[in-house]
Amino acid sequence: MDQILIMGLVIFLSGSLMLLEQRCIGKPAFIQPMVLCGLSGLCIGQEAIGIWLGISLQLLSIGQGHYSNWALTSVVAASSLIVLHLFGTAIVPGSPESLVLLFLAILYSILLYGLGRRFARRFERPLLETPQWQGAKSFELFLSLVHRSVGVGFATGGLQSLMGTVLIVLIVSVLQNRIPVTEEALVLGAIVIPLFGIAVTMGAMSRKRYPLYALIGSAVTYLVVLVQ
Amino acid sequence: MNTLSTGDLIRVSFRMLLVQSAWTPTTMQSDGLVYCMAPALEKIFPDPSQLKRILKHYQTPINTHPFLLGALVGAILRMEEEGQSTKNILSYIRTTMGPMAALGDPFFDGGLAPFASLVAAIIALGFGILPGILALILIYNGIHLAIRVQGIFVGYRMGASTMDTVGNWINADKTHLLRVAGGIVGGFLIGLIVSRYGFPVLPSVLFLLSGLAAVGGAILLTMNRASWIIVLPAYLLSVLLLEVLF
Repeated sequence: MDQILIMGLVIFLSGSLMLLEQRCIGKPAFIQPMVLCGLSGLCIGQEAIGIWLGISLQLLSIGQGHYSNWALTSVVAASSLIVLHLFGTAIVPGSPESLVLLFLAILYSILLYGLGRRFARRFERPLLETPQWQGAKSFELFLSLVHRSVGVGFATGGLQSLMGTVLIVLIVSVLQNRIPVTEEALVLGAIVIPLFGIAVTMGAMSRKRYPLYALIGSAVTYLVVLVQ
Repeated sequence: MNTLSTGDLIRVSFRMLLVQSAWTPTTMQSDGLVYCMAPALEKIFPDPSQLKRILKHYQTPINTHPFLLGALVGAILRMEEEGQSTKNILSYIRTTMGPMAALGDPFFDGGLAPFASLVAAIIALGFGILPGILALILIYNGIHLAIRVQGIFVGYRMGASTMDTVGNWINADKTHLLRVAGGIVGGFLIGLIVSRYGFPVLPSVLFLLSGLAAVGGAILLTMNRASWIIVLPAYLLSVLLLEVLF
């Protein structure tokens, strides 16, 4: 029980700090999927899944910042990987567990991103209520907004990270070893997601948006091989 | 004579990292911009009542690419120091922020981020995760931080002519070059991924088909003759090299 509480606290604190970094320190590359997932794979001695998850999420996130908070996706995926390892679950690239982990992390952050934007609008109310710039007063208001933003961001970032990790760990643990898969399907699963990520990245570079078609094609291909 | 020292501009650079911290749809970056410039403006306008008057100038919504905001900030500080009118300064901001965003979005979001991610992915697959992480951080952060910080100093030195310099740093040609490089690297990455995870388990036919499907996907996505002409040879070359080496 103590171990679980400590784990929860670590996830809360690290998630809070990482999500704050993304918001408050102007989009540097430290909290990126490849960094977090790669390091988590390294920590648990399973570099292969860390690389696969990191590359997949990194490439999938390119140009998709309007739909999801990719920092949250990275934090939740990385912490889930570590917690699953601590509970004795080894995840292999391309396995159904790895795909479920990936998709749940993405879906979770898309849902919370939408909720977060609604919540964030409450912050601008104090500034909107100031009829005009009062010079120093507005400046103080900005600082107080930043402080409030940091405070609330710290709390909500930690909660989001913790909830997401618990959800993913539970679902992946339930699914573990329940879906039989051939070696070819495993290999195809390992290939298809990073290739789809490359397609998304190419799409971002050319400003065309066809990742949905590529996703459908990838999913169909994978299911066909899985069923066979 | 310059009122602001290197230390003042460095303080502005650090504050610039927080410029998006209280972004709102109404004031956008203007609150952050004022916070960023505040130490420098206090030095230029030591009289509090004058400073208060100056700060009121920036109640207009200001929004541009955050990585190029440094150049705008430097230019504004120079113009304030020269005693230029509010009308001139605001006119400069309004005419500059749009083009800066138009330069910054394709370069950083459509060129640098994808390129850095693809290069980092190749390095991670080839040499391990730590070199990959290092490559990502150095390429992406190195370039945007250099532009952000250098922008302040160049903007302060050149004032209203800053856009010419910024336009040379990140113009359409350089963005295109980044995308071409990204296409090449992407082609290599396709071959590397299929080789790393698929070979030799997959039958050679499926190996080839998956590669062609990936290239086909890239063609569909780019829908640009120049892009797939770059991706396809890079992919074929990578497959050849990997077949020979392994």
